[in-house]
Amino acid sequence: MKNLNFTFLCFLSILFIMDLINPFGKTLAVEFLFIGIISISLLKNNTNPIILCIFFGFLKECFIPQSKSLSVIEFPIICLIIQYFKFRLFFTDKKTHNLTIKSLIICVSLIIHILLNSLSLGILAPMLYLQFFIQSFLIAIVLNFYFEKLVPSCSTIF
Amino acid sequence: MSISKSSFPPSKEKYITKIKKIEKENLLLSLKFKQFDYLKDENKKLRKALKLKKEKAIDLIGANVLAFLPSSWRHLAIINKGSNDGIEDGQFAIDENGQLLGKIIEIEKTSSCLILIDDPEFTTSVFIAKKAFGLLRGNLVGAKILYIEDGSEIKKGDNVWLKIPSINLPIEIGEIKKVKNNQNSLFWDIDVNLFAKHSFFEKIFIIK
Repeated sequence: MKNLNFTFLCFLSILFIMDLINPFGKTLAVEFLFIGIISISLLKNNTNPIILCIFFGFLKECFIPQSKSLSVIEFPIICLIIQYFKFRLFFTDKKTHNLTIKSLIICVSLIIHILLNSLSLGILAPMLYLQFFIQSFLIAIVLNFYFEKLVPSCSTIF
Repeated sequence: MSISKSSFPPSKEKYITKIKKIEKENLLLSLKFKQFDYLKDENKKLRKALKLKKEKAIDLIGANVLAFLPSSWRHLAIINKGSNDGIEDGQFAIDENGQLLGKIIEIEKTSSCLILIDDPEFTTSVFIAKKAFGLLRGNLVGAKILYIEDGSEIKKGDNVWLKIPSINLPIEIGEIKKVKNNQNSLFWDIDVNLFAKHSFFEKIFIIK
C-alpha cells in the first residue's frame, strides 16, 4: 500500500509539473492535476485519496496570489463525490457498462469544477468551458485507461 | 596484411554493438540540433527586442518565464526577475514585437508574478485609436473595454493602445473585434482581439 501511495504521489506530481510548465499553451485548456485527482479517486484499493487531494489542493493554492483557497476545499469534495457515486453505482447497478459509469462520473466532476470556478471569478466564457470540458474529458478517459494498465491492482471498481 | 580468422567476418554481436553506438550518436546529434534550433530562435527574439529598444529608446529588462499558474481560470506567470533586478509593481511586460503581454503584480527579491492581459483580474486604462478611452479588462478568451458611454465612432478594426507615462510611447494591445450598443446598460459592449496570442512563451521584456 505504501508503494501504491508513492506511485499516486509521483503521478500527481508529474501532472502538477505539467500544469506549471504549460507546454501546450492556450491550445490545450486543461488542468492535468484535476484530471489526475479524478483518475485517482476512480481507482479501487485507494485508501486515502483525500489526503493527497488536500495536499495537492494546498500546493496549487500556494501559486495563486490573494488566493480564495478554492482547490483545498474543491479537490477533497470532488474526491468524496466520486467515491460516493463509485460505491453507489457499484452496489446498485452492476450491469451498467464500466465506461459509461466512468464517463458519467468524469462529466459530473468536470461540470462541478467549471461551475465553481466560473462562479468564483464571476465570468462567463462558454467557448472556454466547452473547450475545457471536451479536452479534459478525453484526456481523463485516456489517462484512466493507461493508469489501469500501469497499476493493474488498482483497476477501477466497476 | 593478414586477416585473423576470429575477426573476419565480424560477428553479429559486433554489428549490433556498432549499430547501437551509431543510434546513440544519432540521438545525441538530433538533440544538439534541437538545442541549436532553440538558441537560434532565442537569438532572433533577442535581436528583435534590441531593435525595439533602440528604435523606441526604452529601457527593457529581459526575463524568463519560470512557471505558469496551474489553473485554466487564471492567467498568471512567475518570472525570474525580482526587486534585485529593478522590477517594480505595476511595470508592463511586452513581447519581442512590442505588444503588451501583462503587468507585474507581486515582487519577491529574485522573482515576480506577472498577470497576463487576458486574466479576468487584469485591468488598465487604454485608448481606442484617437476616439475614446476606457478600462480594459481580460476575460480569459480575450479582453473587453468597459465604461465607454458613446461608442458610435468606434469601428471594428480600430487600434487599441496603451500609453505608459514614464516612456511616453504607445504600446499596441489589439484591435476592436465587436462594438455593440447595450440597451440595458449605460455603457457600450466592446470586445478586443488581442495581438499577443502566444500559445506558449518563455521570454518577456519588462519596460522600466
